[in-house]
Amino acid sequence: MDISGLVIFVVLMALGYIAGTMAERKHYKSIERREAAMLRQPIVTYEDMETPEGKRVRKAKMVTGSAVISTDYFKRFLASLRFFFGGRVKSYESLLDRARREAIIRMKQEAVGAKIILGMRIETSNIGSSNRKGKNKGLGAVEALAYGTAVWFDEIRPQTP
Amino acid sequence: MKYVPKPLEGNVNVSRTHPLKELLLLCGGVLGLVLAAYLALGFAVDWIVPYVPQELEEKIAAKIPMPPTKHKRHAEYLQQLAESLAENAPNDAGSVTLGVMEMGEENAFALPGGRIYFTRRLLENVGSENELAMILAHEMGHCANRDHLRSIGRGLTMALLASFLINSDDAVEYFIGPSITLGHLSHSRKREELADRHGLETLVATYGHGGGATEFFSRINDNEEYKHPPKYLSSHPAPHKRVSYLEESLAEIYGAEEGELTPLPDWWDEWEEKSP
Repeated sequence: MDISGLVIFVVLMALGYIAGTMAERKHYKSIERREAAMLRQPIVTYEDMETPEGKRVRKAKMVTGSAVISTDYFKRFLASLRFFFGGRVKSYESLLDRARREAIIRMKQEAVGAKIILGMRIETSNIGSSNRKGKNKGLGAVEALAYGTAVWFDEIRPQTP
Repeated sequence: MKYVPKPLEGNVNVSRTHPLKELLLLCGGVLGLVLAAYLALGFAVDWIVPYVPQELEEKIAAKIPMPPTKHKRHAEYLQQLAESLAENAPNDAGSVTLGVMEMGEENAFALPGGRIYFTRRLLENVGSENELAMILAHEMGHCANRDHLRSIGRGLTMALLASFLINSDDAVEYFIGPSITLGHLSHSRKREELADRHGLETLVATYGHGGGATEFFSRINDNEEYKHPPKYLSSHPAPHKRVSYLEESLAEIYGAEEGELTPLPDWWDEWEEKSP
């Protein structure tokens, strides 16, 4: 029996679990801190808006933010067991959640000073997963890309006669 | 309408299940499925084996290459011993053919088609006819119980389950492969015990006592050369365990422990030289 294979498996699982959990906890803390700091920056999925009274558009620019989050051995193992039974792939949910939130934070960082971000969209793609011999041996990572149109306004000064 | 930002409480997008709980549930489920499949197929094999006709077994055996047999005089002696043992055996082993092969290891094998091989090294170290008879009757027990058909059937089952796993993740293979192997080995140890009991019964019925029953296993146990893996990784019960359960059976069931050992013939230590 292949004992060395089993030992490698157990080590990778433990490593994946410990390192993955630590990284995830740290990332969530950082996400929550930055989200709170940027809370006052509104984003809407609505694509059109009236210019508020007394203001005029100074600049409108597409802003993007993207984040790539990798899976770990432990999460991938849980997901591969899921393929036997179906159901929610719970171990991947946090990856996507982190990727989306991180992408939005980065997009907001590009829109400092903008009054609003219009028409925000999120795209997701998986990268780095090469299908060799039908086995999913490559690294599994997910990319989330958030983009929208950031609008900066200027106050219109009352015209002096 | 005034925009009032509010921080969101909680996170509906991520499940709250603890990953380790998820791991236990999923592993348990997959293990359960695979073991159930293995057990069901194993029972199917055990159920069908007694109905497999002798001719079919011989056809299967014909496809398996047999080692060349040497030392005709010893083989002939073993053949006669087997015939006298067969008269006293609890289960009919069918017709058996004995052979001797050159091999560095002390061992004896039963192969499909009633072929039983002893290695020369084993024959050189054997101390009495009784000891030899015990080993031979053990192997005849394998033939009578049709253990090689069982092991071929189980092997096919393993191959089937393995092919089912080939398309899954490597990690799943690492995890499930060993669990099946452990089940397989446990089955193998049970078959060995049954063959041991068959051997013991035959021995007592032939010689009227159980002398020589445990010599081989004691010798193997004392031999530093054979490193014994832990129980769950072995296909055979540990030699010291075999010695103790054989002694127990001797004392409890047959009430006959020791008796005079039958010596081996004078020419036993004369060997034909290795053929080139």
